[in-house]
Amino acid sequence: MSDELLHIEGLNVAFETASGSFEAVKKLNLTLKRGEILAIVGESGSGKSVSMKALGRLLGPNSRVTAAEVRYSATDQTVDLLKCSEQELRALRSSSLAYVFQEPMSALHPLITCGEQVAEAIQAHRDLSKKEVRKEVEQLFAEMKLPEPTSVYDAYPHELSGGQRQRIMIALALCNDPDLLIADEPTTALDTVLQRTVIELLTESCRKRSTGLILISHDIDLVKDHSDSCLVMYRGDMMEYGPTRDVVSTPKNPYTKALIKCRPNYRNRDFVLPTVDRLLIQEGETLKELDYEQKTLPPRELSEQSVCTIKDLELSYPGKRNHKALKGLNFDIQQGETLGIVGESGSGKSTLAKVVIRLLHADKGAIEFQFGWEGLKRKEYASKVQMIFQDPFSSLNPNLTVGETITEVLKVHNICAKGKRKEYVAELLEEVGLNASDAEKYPHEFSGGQRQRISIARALAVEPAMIICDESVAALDVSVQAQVLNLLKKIQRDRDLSYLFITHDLHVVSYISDRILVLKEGEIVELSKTETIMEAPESEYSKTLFAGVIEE
Amino acid sequence: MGKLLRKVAYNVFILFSVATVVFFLFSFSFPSPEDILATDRTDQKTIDAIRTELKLDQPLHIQYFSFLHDLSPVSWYSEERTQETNALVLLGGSQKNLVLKFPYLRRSFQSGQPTSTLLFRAFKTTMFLALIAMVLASIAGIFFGIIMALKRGTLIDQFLLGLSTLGISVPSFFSAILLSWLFGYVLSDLTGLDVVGSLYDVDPETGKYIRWRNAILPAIALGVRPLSIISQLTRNSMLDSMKQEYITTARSKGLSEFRIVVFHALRSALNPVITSISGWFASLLAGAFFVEYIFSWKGIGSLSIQALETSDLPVIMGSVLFIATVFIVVNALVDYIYTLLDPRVKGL
Repeated sequence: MSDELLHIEGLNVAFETASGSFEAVKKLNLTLKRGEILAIVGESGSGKSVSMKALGRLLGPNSRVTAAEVRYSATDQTVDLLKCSEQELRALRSSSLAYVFQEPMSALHPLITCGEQVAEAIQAHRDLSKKEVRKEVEQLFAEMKLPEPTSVYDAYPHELSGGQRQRIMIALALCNDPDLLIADEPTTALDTVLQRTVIELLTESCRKRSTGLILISHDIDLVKDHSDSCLVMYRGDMMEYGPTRDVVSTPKNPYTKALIKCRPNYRNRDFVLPTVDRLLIQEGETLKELDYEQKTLPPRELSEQSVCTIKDLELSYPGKRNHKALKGLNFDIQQGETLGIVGESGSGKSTLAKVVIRLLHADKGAIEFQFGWEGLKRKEYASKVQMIFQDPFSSLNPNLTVGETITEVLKVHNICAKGKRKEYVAELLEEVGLNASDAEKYPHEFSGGQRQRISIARALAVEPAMIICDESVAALDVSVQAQVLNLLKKIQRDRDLSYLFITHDLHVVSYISDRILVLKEGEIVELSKTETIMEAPESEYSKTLFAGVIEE
Repeated sequence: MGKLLRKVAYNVFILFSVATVVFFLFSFSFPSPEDILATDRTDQKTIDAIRTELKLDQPLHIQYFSFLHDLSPVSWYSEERTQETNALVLLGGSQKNLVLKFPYLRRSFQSGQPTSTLLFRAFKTTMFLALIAMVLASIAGIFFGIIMALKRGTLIDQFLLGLSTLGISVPSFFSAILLSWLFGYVLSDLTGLDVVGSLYDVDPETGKYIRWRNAILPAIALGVRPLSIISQLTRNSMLDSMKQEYITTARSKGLSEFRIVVFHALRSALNPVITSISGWFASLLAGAFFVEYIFSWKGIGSLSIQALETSDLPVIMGSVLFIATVFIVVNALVDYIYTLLDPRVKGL
């Protein structure tokens, strides 16, 4: 048995679309040893997941996959994955080549119990009695640290939490002891704390079995400690490939360098974030590095005046009287500051946002604003406090042009004389870095980052005093994220805005926030200045939460 | 349990509303019952008797309450009436008993038989036809739907899609006439089928028996539209579920294509199909007026048409109430089926 598990040479993937052929992956080469952990890093559209799905021939019929060779050495045979018959491949799937997908909620069948879904994969490859299969699945669930494996076996995916669902997916992938596991963004849908535990579980399980692992991720920080080698992709091209340590510490490729530089973090919080397009330029086939001068953000004077004071806020959801989502919160938001709110899923951060924007009513407590805004009616209130949502795709009405979307807000709030609205919309669009002519376009004509800019423009239209950003940059690629973060910082300075910035990304929160509020199970664990929480956190919980965020 | 009670109360309220609307609609818009009932030979005494029975000599609201009293399963009955209707006495009184009884739908003006007897007799034959039609339509529809989804874009898909669109657009009275003429008349030597015919036939020696083959043509005529709609729904729903990520997961598990299609894709594609099947089933149970009429099938449809022609008020009102009940019962059943099929739908 050779040491080599997978050898790919010249892998190309193209998609036939209505507007012609589109090359998603170009000339990808890689070699994976048995038990090796390879990280493939890239932004969306880089071809990282497409290339790996192509290996298992899991792409749709409109794809065209070619390669000089895809040599795959399973335990007992060596085959070319692209040339072997469908039957041979089916025998390899799960038993030797297994997958974990990004979003376990959609990757697991909603109508079949978790246990059965794993059992099915075992039964497809091994001849075992029902009882034996059940026993094996329950053992596997126990290994994945799922509580009460027996009851989890009979649970449906929607009855479990996100982290538990992903553990089921990993159990499913490992159930036939595969030689290679391909994990496609396995932790992206999870919150920070879970992300770490799940990725550790995944890598440990693979190491224990000496299963090869290909870890696909957009986040180079996440994979750097867990992989042996690293491959960086950009727009379908392989940028850099080598031992992870070398790639991360001494990147050679301009794109890799840019990718690392544009990550927001605590260290570069006083600077404008560089973006990928400022750092490199495409010249023919090759990428060239551009000189980039780091721009320091001008210092801000924070007034001590508070915009919003939250007193003894309590809330429980109907039907769950015993479980309080918010347990008596007390804090204030100051004029012109960014208050970051972090916490695991279920900690109450989004509930808090909904209460502040009055989508939910608190059972107890008060939200007091300067100038007595809390007494305002819903509509007037909305002109003071605005929200930018997470998903720029679903938060814009696809049937309205950008201009119509923003004008609607102006109409509702009766802002700006009728004749001047067009001009005002153009100003807003330019402020967020779009063109005045974009007002005529529909949301689908824009990229994710541009759409988020539109959402920001819409929020700014009423000239609010405070904006709630609920995971507003979480759905964006690293380089786009940098652009939007820069924009948010610039607008804040120009307009003296206060942000309530909710996120589970600790790097982002440490970059943008002046103060950070740590929530856990509806209670404030800590509320301190960013410097304090990063360098000398007061509580144990924030210590573990922020461990590893600062060392760069 | 609370949910179940709420649901029952809700449905009772719907029935009550239907009864109210039906009562007032027919009280105002139809010729008065005495005009219909009384012929030249009817003497004043008979007319008076009818008036008393229907309480026509009383003001409208008394008539209405009497109508509801007849409908309600719980009523105050005199001893005599209790005996007569075989009602179950819940609480005996000195003059009147509180009884539990089957809703009284009054008697047909035409035949003098109780409306409920007529309705049940007709319902049995309609039920028979509707069941055959829906079983055929569901099985064939789901089958063709899967084929179309799997062969998407091919000639087979195009052909079946065109055919089903035709099936949806052809009105049932037209396809009924066409089928009846073609297979019952032109090709009747080959098929051995008749142009018209009812479920029961009478043999001089053995008496009444069921003639299965008389159900074939009307069942097909009834089933064509549901079949076409079910197959298109299945197709779209399957195409949607085949796109889901859990299908990729199923494929990555190394399952056979058959298992993926049937156990994974079809399973989650079935919900909208079931909604459609139940809707069609309820409306077929309510009586397929045209088809029953054309094949002179003696079901709810023909009964209602006949009643309308002769202004047989109790039968008309009875049919409307009966059909409303059928819809409510079928919908309740389907809600229950959903909870069995989809664990995400909370049970009662």
